[in-house]
Amino acid sequence: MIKLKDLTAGYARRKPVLTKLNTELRTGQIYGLLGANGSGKTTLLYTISGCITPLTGEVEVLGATPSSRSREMLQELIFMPDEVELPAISAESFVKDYSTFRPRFDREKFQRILERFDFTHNLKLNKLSLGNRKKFFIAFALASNAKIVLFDEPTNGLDITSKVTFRQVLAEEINDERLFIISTHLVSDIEQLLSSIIVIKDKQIVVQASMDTVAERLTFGATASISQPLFSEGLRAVGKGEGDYSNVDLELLYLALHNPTSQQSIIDILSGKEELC
Amino acid sequence: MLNIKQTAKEFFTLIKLHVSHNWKIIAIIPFMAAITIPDVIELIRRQDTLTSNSTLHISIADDLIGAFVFGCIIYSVLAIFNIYKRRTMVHSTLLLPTTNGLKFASEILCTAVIFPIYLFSIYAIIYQIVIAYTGVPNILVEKLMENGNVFIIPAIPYLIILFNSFMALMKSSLNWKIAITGILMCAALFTMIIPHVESFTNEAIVLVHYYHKLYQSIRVCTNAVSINEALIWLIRLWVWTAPLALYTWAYYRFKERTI
Amino acid sequence: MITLNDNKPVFLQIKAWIEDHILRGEWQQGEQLPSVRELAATFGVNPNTVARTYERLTMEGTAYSTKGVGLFVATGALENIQTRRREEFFATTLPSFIEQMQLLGITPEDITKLYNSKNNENK
Repeated sequence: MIKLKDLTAGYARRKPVLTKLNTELRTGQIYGLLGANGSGKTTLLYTISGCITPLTGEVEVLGATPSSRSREMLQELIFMPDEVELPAISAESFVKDYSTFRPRFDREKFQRILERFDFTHNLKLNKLSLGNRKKFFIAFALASNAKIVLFDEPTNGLDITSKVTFRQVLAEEINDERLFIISTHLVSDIEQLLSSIIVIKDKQIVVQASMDTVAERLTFGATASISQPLFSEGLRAVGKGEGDYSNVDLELLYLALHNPTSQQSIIDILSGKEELC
Repeated sequence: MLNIKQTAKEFFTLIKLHVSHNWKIIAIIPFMAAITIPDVIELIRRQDTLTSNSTLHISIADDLIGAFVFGCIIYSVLAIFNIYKRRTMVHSTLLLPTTNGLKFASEILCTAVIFPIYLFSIYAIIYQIVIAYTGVPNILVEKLMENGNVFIIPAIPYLIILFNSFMALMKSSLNWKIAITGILMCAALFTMIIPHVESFTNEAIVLVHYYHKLYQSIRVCTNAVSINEALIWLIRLWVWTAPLALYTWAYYRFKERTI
Repeated sequence: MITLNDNKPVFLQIKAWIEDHILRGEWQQGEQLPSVRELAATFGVNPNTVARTYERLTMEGTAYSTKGVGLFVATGALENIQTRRREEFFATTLPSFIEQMQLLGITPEDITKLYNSKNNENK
């Protein structure tokens, strides 16, 4: 559904943020997009949504070029930025106006999700706190029934109860026809929802793998229980998979990928270049 | 193919969104209109006391055409700056699922219609202040009106643009090339304005009247317009439409950078 | 709120949760289990994880699926679970328990005493 071909993206020709990305993202998946600050996660989301045009290379979303911002493509895509700014209008006005552009918008679903979030505010949208604005927009984004949903740090600013609600609500929305990309640093908030991860480092995608692959090829656990740890941080370590399915500790995986000693081994194992023990 | 009903619905919703986004500016308009109307009436009344040069004869239709031309030009320049805001506003029309044509049309309609009214009203307020504080309103107004300088307005938007450009550069919030272009353009036009305030505004009015004349001559197929005159006016036309052309070029060349 | 700890694979934790419900008699044989989506939403996990759980349950004979309808508790599921857990207990838990006993010098008599007192408590 989303194809990147030799994509180089950024804001200035001479300083690309992402270089020669080649990959395909498929429907039915929830992708977790991980990377250091400034590594290009938001840039990738901007490029996929059509906010910016690639410097070189191609992006294809639902068969169209996103930067041409065609009506048909935009109807099937919704992007929630990390800082949600809403206009000075009421929630009712917002829904009435913005759903004009989204033919499959489901008002009932929207109300349901807002109720789950305990959202009952009568203020103008721009007067809401950050967390409430996010909840509002999350509900709107999911109720739009767009095929591609891009979230940039959706849980950042949500209270703890709302984070749980977010997981529950999102789990209900997963189906074979939709594609979610969640870019975040708060991996523990959404770990269990992900079906795949994409890690961006050094202007490249260093890892793109399904959670199953990661769980099978690597083992995560207490340092004492890992026979040959590739990387350890405090009491937890990661080692080569031992043939059974282990819970994935995404934070640890991220740290291991950003450690010069373990980086390459992890990449090789996940890409299948190394033999499992 | 979009059906008409849906297109119309989307277009009007876009206008509504632009209005609600700019409600503070819009809200001032009725207030300004209330101040402006007496002046408009005054202007109409004073038409007969203007100098006899027929090309400076002001009619309301020309005022509106002129205001619209100004609006488009000012919009063009301001749009170049607006279009480079880095922050993704949810209510920005960029990612709204509608055609680019509708988005552009709604923006230009809102800004080009709103701005002239707004700017004309600023003039009216300044006029009122001048009357209130100088105590010599009639002489000043007469002096301005004598040379058809009612459109001293052109200076104001360029001042605003100049100021905005400096502020933007200081905040580094937009593409520096565009900011420099804006500043240079304003500086160039402004240097035209300062020594030639009177003739500058005359130019504006005459340009509007030229369109009128041209339109009339095309209509009646007369030789009202000579080749020489046509050439001169073509150059003047270019000066005025250059910002619009620049914007159009910028829109297509840089639209990939819009966020 | 149901939280998941990160020792056992999540899909096995969910399996244990379902098995506990069956063992406690809350879900009887022939009763339908929640749909994959419902359970995924309850736990806030990817439906694939629940699908994996259901696959395992089916494989182990604790549940069976009717195409287009859902997953149902199999006949004899309760006994099935008890058998399995018993096997696991003897194969894994008990040996390490005995090892601990030996390391700490705990005798079978100590265990019997504790077992009996707990039994009396439960009565």
